Amino acid sequence: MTRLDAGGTAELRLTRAREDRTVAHSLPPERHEMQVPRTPPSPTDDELDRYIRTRYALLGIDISVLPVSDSEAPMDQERLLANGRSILRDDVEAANFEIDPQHHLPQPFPAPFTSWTDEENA
Amino acid sequence: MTHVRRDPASAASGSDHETAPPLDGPVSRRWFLNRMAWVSSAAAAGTLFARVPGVASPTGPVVTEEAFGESVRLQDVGELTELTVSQSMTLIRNGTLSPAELIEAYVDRIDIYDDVYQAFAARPGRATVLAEAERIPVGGVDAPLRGIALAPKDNFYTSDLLTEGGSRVFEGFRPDYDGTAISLFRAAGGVIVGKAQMGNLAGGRARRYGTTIPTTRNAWTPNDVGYSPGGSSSGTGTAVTARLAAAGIGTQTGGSVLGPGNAQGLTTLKPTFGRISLHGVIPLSYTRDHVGPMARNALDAAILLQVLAQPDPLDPRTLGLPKPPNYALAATPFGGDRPRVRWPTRVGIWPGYLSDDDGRTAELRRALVSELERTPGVTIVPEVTLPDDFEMLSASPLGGSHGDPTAFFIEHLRRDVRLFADRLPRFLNGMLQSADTYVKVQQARHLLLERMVSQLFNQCDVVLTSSTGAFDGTGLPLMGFPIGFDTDEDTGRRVPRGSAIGAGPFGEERLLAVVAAYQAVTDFHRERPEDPA
Repeated sequence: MTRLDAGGTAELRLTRAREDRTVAHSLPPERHEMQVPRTPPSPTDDELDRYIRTRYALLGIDISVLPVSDSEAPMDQERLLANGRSILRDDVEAANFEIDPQHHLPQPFPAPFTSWTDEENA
Repeated sequence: MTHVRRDPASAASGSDHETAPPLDGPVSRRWFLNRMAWVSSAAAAGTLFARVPGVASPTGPVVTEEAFGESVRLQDVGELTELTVSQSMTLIRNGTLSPAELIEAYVDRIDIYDDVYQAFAARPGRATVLAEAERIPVGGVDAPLRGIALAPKDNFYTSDLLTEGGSRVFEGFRPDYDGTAISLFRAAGGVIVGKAQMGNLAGGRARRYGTTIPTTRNAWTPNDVGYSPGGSSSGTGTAVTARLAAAGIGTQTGGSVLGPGNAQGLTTLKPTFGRISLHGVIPLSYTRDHVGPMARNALDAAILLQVLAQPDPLDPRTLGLPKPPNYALAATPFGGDRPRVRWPTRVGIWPGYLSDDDGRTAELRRALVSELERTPGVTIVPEVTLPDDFEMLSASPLGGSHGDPTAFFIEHLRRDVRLFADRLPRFLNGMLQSADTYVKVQQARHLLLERMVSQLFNQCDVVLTSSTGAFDGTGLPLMGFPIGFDTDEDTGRRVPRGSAIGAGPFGEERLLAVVAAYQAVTDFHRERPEDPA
């Protein structure tokens, strides 16, 4: 596992989770008959395209009004789906990062938030 | 209430450099990080959102005497539209010039030239603008922007003009109220001479709605539509450069204020996140959008920031921030022929800043650094070290603004995706991104911000940079300013080049002070393009 530590400080730890997850070989004997988790094969472009279309349709968004493929048009389905596939694969990339949740909670705004502290001004 | 403040600390602004320390020193680092830590612990304890939001009443624009510092004789001015905001304020205050005269000069130029520049998406009628200007009282101190012609980007809500966001999505939209920034401008006596064209939903250069056909011209190449005015605050950039407006405001989520500013030789400022209210602005990302002044020099940018930097109960992101300091003072050079920066300042050089371009831009950047080296009070820090994991934290996918645009625009997406034209993917992407990613993006933002403060701005106070994305993502302030001219390879035209300079939280004074000292010994910001043939 690759760890990227911040200046040697243990609490600021950004970890990129390993992508080639391996099977745990130290299972107790009585659990050997359980199916071993395996990383499923990566979806194909066609599978992702079906997923993207389904997701949009589920939300009531119709992309069929766009031309299928027309590089002269402001947007076409081909470009839109290519972008969608890229976003989905990027999402996996993001999932591979682990940022210490004890010290770096999600931060919606980069503003200081004293409005929630009853403090007028610092 | 609007009033002019005489800051005792700056009473002798021309020579007094014993002013209070800038806000980025005593407040920002320790306070900002402590506050961020508090936010984390409060959120963990479940108390953060249980609190009742504090209410900070707007105190109105506060413009100090330094804003009126520059005095000129009218007979020395070729055209009234050549006056800066500061100069105009001075002449109007002392009665030499009336607001109506000044506005009429701008309206005349708009009537003559905007068919070529195409800087405006919507304009009030000539009679309406002139009547508004006539109603502005002469004299007094309660409206410092009296008669100042302003060109806000077309994503600011205006109750009297269409607000279409450069897009078919908002075609025909007329809000029933003014956005906070527009209200503050008008309360200060400013006149909106038009809504400036912009890139489709704040992306790219301005184009004919729903198409990829460009509209707004770069003011330096009015007869060549191929050379970009920069985006997405294209029209504001062109209007201010072409003297169709004295100043304006754009919005920046990813370079959209500095981009057109640097493309057209303006001085621009993206303040610390939350410093200017976003209420009444068509949103793109609720965590990365910024309102930013676009002006002709550092002092004008400071004046606009001073007017707009108000806590707004309608935008909680503006509440609880340190009280705005005297920006005009920060932008007032002092010290004779070779002005010094107002506070001793370490100017860092971003890795690659001097070497990532082997052409004219690198030459101009080296000249800029040489000039700053000769500026009293400046210490150059050659090639700063970037924070740990900078690339990983600032680049996609962790450095993005995932999901925000989708959340705001779902109903429009259902209406017809074709309305979004080339920008459609940006607005659909959020539906494909997981909540897990969204959480991690926000964690990464927090971590990057902390490291920018503790690992970058421990080496320097400001940094010259060619990489501004991390500043947009973390909400840290940036300025853009002209550093010379180049010949565009494609058009053969002489065009301006600019630089970006960034600072830590609430470091606007530092930025203004450095840029103002540089502009005191250079003329790039004073050059203007020729009028269209």
